[in-house]
Amino acid sequence: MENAQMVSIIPLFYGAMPNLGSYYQSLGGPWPAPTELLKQGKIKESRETQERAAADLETDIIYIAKIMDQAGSDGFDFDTAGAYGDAEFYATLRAIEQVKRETNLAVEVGMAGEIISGMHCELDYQGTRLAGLWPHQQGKLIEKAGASMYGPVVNTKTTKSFPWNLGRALTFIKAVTKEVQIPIHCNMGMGVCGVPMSETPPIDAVTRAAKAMVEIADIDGV
Amino acid sequence: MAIGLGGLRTAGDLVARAQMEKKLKIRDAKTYVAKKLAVEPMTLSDEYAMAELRKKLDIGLIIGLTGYAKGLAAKARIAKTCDFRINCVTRLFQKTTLNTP
Repeated sequence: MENAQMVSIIPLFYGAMPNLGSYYQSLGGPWPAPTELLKQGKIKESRETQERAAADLETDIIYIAKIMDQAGSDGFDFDTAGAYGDAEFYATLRAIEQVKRETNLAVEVGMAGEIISGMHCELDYQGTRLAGLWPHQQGKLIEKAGASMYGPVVNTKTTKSFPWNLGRALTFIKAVTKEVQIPIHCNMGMGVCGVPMSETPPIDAVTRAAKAMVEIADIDGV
Repeated sequence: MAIGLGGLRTAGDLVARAQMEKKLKIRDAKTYVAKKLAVEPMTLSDEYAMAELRKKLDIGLIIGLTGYAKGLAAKARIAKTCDFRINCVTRLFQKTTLNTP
């Protein structure tokens, strides 16, 4: 990062996934996996393990963010936040607060999916339950936490056509740009925000989706 | 390329910094940058006009012409011109402050 900052002119962010899954024993982490506990009917234990993993994740994020701040990074990008459900999103929101308080980094948050899955179901942030939040609701919390930019996601339904998916994505993102006051940089990779799900999406679909997002949904970036 | 402002070819990097630092939506970010550069917002997307302006202000170019600011030097000039707080530039000045006896 230090070397890159010396020679570059455009803003450079450090991007990382707040990957709650890697804190569970199934992926080499210290805590029992909540999915295994749920299979045994241990709901309370499942919630507890997610809370502990979320606390560890928060600690690790701020550790890395401080180092990147010292290295001169322009910002920190939380990529695919909320992939492992509401506990991961909870850790992300609390980490954003700390990063904004203790570093000079701009913060961007790109989501993993259009809805926050309720792996825990009883976690809330400033009075709002996190399970089941849609993009326009997620963005409001990310804005409250202090982030500079928000990247909503709308999942592409692979059994539907490109116009269908684009129309649906535009409907979601229009709600986001109406409700959320920070810049909106929607995620437009493969399978999200109207872009077809394939390794090399057709360029005519990608350009049409991008243009539509700019002109109809009024986004601030991609 | 389909929808972008043009990055370093134009004023994309400056508008991006206005968004991330000042949390401005794109229209406000463009207005802010245009005001700082003393141009109309439409000029920000003009590759030729912005190349000439960036040479004049020495705030970095898409091609590495000899004698023009690059890297940290360009960012230091961007920070001053557009009133941005750029992390690596601040740290450079902190590191290079010499205490004279």
